[in-house]
Amino acid sequence: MRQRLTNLISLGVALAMASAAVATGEDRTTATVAVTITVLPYADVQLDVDHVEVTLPPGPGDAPAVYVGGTIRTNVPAHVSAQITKPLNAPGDWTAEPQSSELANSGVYRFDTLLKIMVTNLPESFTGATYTVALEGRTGEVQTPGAGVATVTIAPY
Amino acid sequence: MTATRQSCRLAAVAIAAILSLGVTAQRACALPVIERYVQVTATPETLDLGTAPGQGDFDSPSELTVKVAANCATGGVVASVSALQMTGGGSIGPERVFVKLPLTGNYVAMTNPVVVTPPTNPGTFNIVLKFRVQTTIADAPGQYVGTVTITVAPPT
Repeated sequence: MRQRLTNLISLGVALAMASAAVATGEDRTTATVAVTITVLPYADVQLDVDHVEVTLPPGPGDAPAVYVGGTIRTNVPAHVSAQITKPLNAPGDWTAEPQSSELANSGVYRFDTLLKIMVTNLPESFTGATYTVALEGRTGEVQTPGAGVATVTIAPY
Repeated sequence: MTATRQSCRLAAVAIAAILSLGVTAQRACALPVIERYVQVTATPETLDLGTAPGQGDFDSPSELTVKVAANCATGGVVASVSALQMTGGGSIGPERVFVKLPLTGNYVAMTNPVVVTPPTNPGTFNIVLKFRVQTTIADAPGQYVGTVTITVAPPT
């Protein structure tokens, strides 16, 4: 008898639970998503001219210095350095003294960097000539985020 | 004897409860109530937009899939974004985040919440959203974090 009653009560409870489970509406009208983006350090350089003319006087000696101007855009502190190599048809050994200009923080900057060109081992018979040296603006080493320094190199083609 | 009486009372209570539930169930069957149902989900839960190599417009290759299920008409799906903040300072405001409209393919600035779908009928549908981020030289390198919120608007 007790067992039957227990079964009846269990049945009643189950029915009650089923009755309570009548479908209820759901309103989940908003979803949120976390988004991330990584910005890399970078530096772009543009030169005012794409070439310079270098005139060597007769005999051994240094070429006159030339200024190379341009604009640098960077989101990290950067500096400009300059280098140059000898034109293919030029005599002697050419070296350039890089000059660096420090740029603070990030932004858009004008720069004028000095290219001091030194020529050695010219032949005694050299009577002087003018050479055209091509230039390009080149972004150099940009270090990993947080390092805070970018190097921009002005180099010949 | 007492036990038998208690058992009878218990049985009577149980039967009454069952009958009562039966009546409730009958009423529920007689007057079915289908409540409003709207559900929106977006995957993935964290969207990596990628790496912006320099200043300018960066079209993220990542996609956000939005699934909407509703048994009623809706006012459409609206997307908004918070400012993307970088640890240690710096942020990319919503005006520099763009969402690509699925229907036109145009990118729209998320300065204000953007309606990405027109009002919809009952049913289920998926939309895929893509994003564009505009970076400038003033944006220091690093990782920026924000939140995109997708909302199903009520019908007008």
